[in-house]
Amino acid sequence: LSPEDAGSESPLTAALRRLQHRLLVATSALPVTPQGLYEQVRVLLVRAIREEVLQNGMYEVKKLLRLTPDPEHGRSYWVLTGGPIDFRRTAEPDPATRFVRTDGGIIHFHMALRECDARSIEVLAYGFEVYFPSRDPIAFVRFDLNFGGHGNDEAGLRSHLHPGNDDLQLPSPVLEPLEALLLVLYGCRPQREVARS
Amino acid sequence: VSAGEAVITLDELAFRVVESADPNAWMVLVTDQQSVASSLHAEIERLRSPEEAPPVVETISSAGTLFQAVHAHPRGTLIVVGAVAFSVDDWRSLDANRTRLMRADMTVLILDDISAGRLENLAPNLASWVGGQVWRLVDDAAAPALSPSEIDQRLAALRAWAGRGDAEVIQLAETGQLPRDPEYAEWLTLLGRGDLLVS
Repeated sequence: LSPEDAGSESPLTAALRRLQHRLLVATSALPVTPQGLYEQVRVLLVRAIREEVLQNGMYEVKKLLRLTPDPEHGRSYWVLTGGPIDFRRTAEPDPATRFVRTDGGIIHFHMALRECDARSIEVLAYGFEVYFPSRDPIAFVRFDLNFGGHGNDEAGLRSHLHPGNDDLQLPSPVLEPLEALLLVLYGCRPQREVARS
Repeated sequence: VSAGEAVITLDELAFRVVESADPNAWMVLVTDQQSVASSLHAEIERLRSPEEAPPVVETISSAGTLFQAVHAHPRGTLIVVGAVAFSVDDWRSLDANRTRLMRADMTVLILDDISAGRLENLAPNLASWVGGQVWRLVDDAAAPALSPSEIDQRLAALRAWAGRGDAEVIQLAETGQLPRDPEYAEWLTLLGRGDLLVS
């Protein structure tokens, strides 16, 4: 910790704030439209089906993947969602209604997007989660990006990881949507499985 | 061949093509948009793995040029456009010499209603290779939105999770007191208040 950390806030808060700033500026370019991002996400999910990472049929992708405009601000704000909300994490791993990994993990995600102009979009917030109804090998792993402003982003936790507990937050890189999706699709597995693959 | 019965979207068709493992598989895509060949090519490119050969689009004008295209591309996915202009003699020639059309992988013929009918009536043996793989292309929403009932379900789940109502969430956001969890970002956007995320 540097001397400037010793101000009105705690050294940890100041250090996390600097960490968060560094994480936020390290992201690379996104597709230029929400529809472009939808297409990239769709292709990644279909490829995961081809590679037998997901149990779903290809035809289920568009049933579960939605791009919805803000009804009052049509082309400015959007929500991109994958699968239904699952706060209770008790759903049956049914590929007709959820994105289900071949190891039984259920994936769902959502992100809020802003179409800044005709040539750029911004991810305002996201949540990508894989959970296991059996709680084995872990109850869930979730990557969150809170929307900006005052709050825990000031504590350096705007982007964070929940390792199986909603009350535990660990600093996380700000991920591109495809990176976050890759992690919950192909990652978040016991090391013994990763080693075998 | 019975054109017009089964419908398919472009992405579903591409998936069927890349998943096909049968030798000399033939498929007919019935559409008035011959330009769909390039879209199908692009979609297959997105889905194929690096080990799989890239698809090829060949524009042909006669039976002779189709034979040449098949000879030049014995393997990999071949998308054939232009057969809508085939004459009666072209179709009969193809049928009589169909063994020269045998390939190792998938061939997709892009036809319109008239030429699909000619394939069925004038080249029945070639049509038997196609079998039931005749699809009519349909447009679908490139990026479908949540239905009203799906939105209602998500909002109900968010209300139960937060123990708050819509009006309270908007009021908290307007006064800068709303927690910044990403779930609230979705909530505000679905309520038509995405603008509060950046204010």
